[in-house]
Amino acid sequence: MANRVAIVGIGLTNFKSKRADVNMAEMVNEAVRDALADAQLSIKDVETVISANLEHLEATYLPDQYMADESGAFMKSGLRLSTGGTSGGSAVVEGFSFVASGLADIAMVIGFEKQDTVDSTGAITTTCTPLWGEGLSSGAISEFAKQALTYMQRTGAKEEHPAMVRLKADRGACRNPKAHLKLGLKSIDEILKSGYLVWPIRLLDFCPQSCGACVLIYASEEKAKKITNKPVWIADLVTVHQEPFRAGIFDDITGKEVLCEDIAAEKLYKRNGITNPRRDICLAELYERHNGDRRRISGKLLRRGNSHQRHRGHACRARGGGGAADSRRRRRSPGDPGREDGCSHGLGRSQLDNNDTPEKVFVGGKMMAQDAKPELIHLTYSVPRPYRWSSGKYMGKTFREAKDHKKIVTNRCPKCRELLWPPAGVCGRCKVEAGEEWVEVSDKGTVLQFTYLVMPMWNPHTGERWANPYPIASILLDGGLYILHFLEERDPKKLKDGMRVQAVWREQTIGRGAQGVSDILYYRTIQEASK
Amino acid sequence: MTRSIEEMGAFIVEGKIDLPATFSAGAVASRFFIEIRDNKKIMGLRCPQCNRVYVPPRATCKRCFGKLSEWCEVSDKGTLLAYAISHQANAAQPVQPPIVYGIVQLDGADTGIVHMIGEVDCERLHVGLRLQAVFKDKRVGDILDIKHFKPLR
Repeated sequence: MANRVAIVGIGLTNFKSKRADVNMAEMVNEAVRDALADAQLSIKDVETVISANLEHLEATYLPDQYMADESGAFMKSGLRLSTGGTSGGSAVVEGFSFVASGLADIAMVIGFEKQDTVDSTGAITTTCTPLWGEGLSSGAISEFAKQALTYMQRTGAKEEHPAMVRLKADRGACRNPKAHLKLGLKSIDEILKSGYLVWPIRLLDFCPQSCGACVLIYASEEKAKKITNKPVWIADLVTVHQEPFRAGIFDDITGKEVLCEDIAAEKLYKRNGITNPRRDICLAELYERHNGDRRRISGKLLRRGNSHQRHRGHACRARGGGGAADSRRRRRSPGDPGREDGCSHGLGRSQLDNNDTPEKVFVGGKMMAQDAKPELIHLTYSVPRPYRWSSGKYMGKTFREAKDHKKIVTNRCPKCRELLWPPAGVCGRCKVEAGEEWVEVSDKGTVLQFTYLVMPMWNPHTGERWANPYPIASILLDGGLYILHFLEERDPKKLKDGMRVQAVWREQTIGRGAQGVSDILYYRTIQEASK
Repeated sequence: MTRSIEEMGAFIVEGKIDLPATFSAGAVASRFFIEIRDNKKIMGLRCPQCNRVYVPPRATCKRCFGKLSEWCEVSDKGTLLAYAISHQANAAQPVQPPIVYGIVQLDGADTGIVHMIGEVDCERLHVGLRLQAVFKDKRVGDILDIKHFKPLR
């Protein structure tokens, strides 16, 4: 059994859209000093330093190395995590693991992101394989739009519902001195009047791009009791992995998948004897990048319990840690609202997330910040990174059939008999070798769900604005294959769920497969007598 | 751009990802670059507790974790601590090979700075070689405002 682990110190920077006065290392240092002061420890007491961020979003590499002095990692053990939007949450787990295992008595974890460096939304469009998803992953927002749509379709939730959550979150942010956005919203009308970024996600539904860092200090039971008389014990942790993009869809529109958060909650509740989450959990920090999802998760986990949720609006890699940090801060501060109902269990969550607003959009050009005094130096650079992605033989078969015969083929799992998409050597569900039972699927299908971009986007693969001017849809092809592709119809009024569509192939195929920027341009609306 | 590797049945998709970035030097490094640009002065930060002078300057002492704010000018002359010669051209390199990279400890500094060594006969290179900074005429506020370090004659 693991040793008991407590959080004994937390540190946060202020969260802002731009921090020209510090570089990344100096920004991290602010949070490290804040945490050490909070725990009343010296950096000498810390044995292990774990840092987490998604360096790709900052066009830098190995930031843990060049900030070793400022992070306090110099001559200490530790590691860096880069697990996408879950980096902050992964660091929380990793720091716990170091102390729970006895490898360290005091460990520090750092989550940070300096999102004034690169247009994060543009960068996130590249976090999928260009072989299979170029153009479809139009930043995080459209992906989350699909999740929100799924939730709305499933539950009948309306756009007013996330707006209500947003209003509540803003009230929390206004009481948080470190928060980035403090809007002082008065009614949900203000939220519903803000324009769409990606339908149905509105500007005020989404969090901003922020610069900031969060630090947690963990201690073993023995040390924790010496450091503070109010340690916050970590009762349990769980991570559940899911790769929804593989399926070409972003949520459970198939009705076949169990959501990872459901699995995680079930495990946690069972292990900790929580039979009535609404009663047993009095504080939940749910780090969701938009309010639709926040509501979804809170509904799932708490059945609309008496949770306190706040919208901090901060750097995404700092975010998982932020959840845990807020749980700690509120649980041990007697005057804090989080204490009002005698909180005994806190809940934190991190997921693939992001903070995007279109406040900074630029296309392949140079952007130079102008600062008055004191003069601050910026280095503006662009280092194109060429890639050579190999499809491998399974995806290659699909590429070949699309290129030579304009056919959609994929392979089938011999065990569960599901069609794999993209075709693969292994069935992720059954963990068995998939083999080469190839199936041709019709290029006609039914739209299950669609979304369209309103905000301007650009494609870092090409430098072109409007990475995908076409609506993106989840389509169930006749033959039972769920895919994600573009729709030719660009008039939102003419888009509807259930519409019948057929693939429009490139006249001259280019060998890019059958999803995203590929040998299929888009799907065209078709009229059929009956189907 | 796509190529098929026939024997494998695989396709290669070629392209590039280009993300323009604006990297904040921060107040400390800004002062370092600005002094070089405007005054050809190389500045360091001293840790009063450890009595070490960091060049390039940094805001935190790696030894004692103290906050550093005591600026001092160091010499533009120094000593070669280590070097390597690159003969291979690379897009990231600012000049054509052969390039001599060196770590130079400037007089008055306790740390080394990485830069290029120029105007040098490679046969003459040795650890301990005395060097002097050569500043560019047109300076823009980055590390290449120092063109290179050359042997002191």
